[in-house]
Amino acid sequence: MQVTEVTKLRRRVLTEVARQAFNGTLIDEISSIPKTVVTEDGLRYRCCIHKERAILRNRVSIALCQDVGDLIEDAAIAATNNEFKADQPIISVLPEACDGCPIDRFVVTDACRNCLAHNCMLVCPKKAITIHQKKAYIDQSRCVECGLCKKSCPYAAIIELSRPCERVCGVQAISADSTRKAVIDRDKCVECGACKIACPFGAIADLSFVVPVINEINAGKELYAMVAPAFVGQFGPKITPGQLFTALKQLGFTDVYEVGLGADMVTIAEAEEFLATVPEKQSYMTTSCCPGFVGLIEKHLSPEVAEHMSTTISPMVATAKVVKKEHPNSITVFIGPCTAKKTEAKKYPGIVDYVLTYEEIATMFVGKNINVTMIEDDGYQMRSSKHGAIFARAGGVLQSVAETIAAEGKSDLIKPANCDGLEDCKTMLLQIQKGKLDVNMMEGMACAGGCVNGAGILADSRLSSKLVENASKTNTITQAIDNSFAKEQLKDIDMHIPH
Amino acid sequence: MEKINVQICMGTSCYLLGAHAIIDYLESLPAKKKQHLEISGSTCLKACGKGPNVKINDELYTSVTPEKIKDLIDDLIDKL
Repeated sequence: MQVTEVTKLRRRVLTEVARQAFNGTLIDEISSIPKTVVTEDGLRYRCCIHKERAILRNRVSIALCQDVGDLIEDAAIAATNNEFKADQPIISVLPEACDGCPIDRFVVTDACRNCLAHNCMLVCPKKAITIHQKKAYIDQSRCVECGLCKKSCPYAAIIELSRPCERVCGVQAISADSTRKAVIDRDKCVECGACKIACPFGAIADLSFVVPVINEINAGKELYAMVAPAFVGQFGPKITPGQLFTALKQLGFTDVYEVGLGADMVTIAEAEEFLATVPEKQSYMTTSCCPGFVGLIEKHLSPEVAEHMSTTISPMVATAKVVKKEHPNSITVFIGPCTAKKTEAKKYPGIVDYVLTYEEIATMFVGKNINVTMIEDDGYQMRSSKHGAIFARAGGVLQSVAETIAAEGKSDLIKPANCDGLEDCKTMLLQIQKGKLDVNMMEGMACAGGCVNGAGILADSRLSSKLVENASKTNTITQAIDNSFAKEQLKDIDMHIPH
Repeated sequence: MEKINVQICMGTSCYLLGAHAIIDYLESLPAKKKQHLEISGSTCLKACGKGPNVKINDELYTSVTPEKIKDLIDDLIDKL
């Protein structure tokens, strides 16, 4: 995966914040970050060094889990005193960084032939198009962006441009305000983080819990890392589970739990739920493990659709419940590819304590001078089944549930379909609800390709998806129902989403 | 035949800053160029934070990009 300058900046800031937090020097050293990351002789992307440093201050505040506009010196004091602003939305726009992309939606290109028919002029309801210097010209002050001119041009000479953030948002939650700066509609946003990845100015950031977690580590608390199945290939294609889990213990975690174990539990519970409810009590059922997909259903679809969502908790929550049962006074930290999990965790106070992305945990490694490639592999063998492992890629949850149902000899009961990407998921849900698709079990994933393509990843999903698939075949247990640990846990863990 | 020794840092710090793109670039080179190169990986080149780091014939280069390594290698191949 090409790491852009925007990504490098974000990672440098997080690494430096993590380093200072581990060393307990945030208050003394925080002011140095804008100067060391953006140096006098470095590359310039903005109008001046002052603008770049102002943006960097926004980034530092978010990295410290404070308000974006807070002075970084105040933010460092608050963070050191364990005062965080965790209740703000997870995804936010950095006001200084948003370039307010001055994009005219419809633009005439040089492909315009200045033809005789000039359909574009004829169809324009606002008479915004005239001919200037042998070419069509759109008066942007009159244009109402209806798009008829684009459709009417036989040379496809009129193109439609859009802001990167708006284009990738599957739920139309981000748009420009009157000053052309991006704003996020909280009633629509599902925190998938697609806009964060898409913005070429790096103007969108996710709230980070790097410092709160480091404070817990420094205080000598008992912390457990819960690693989501999409970890395979994230820290380098050759890094083994043994190396990664040892690195996490060196970082300060007491031990590591595979979220694949929770995924095995979910597989069994969802298969049971399906067999108990479809078709007698409901005509179809959808998965509930992807928080972006859950957000789509809750915020963008009718209550009639929401009724069909599985009532089984996600693998993250199931794993956290296991940890809290085995270690009652511990702190649980989910480590995964996802920004929306940070929002999901808020619904489970006291169960899921913190959520970090792979990117954030990697910056913490670097901040503590841990080089995962230099760690010896202790030969750790995965405890979750192949089913738990393939939750990480699109279609994996459905495959696991379907194979579990098939193992009971009931494969004729399930008519499965899976979908990834928010817009496509919405379309499929509406079709199933209207009875236009003969499907009774649907898997939905907010990110194209599933978790391996989340907003907190480190590796190209085309590669990591294959690595996840290959690694899943090396798990000693194939079926979730053959995982005795997962089955044992199901006896006393409540797998239902609280209402 | 004399070869150009290219050592790429694969450590976590360099990986975070895009070392993989350097490897991808070198892997994608045509055989005509690749035959002059002796490519190997390193776990650390002792310049963490300035990555991606690459050592070419014992000389260390920091903040390497695919474009930058292309120029460096083309120059050295010309001199062979």
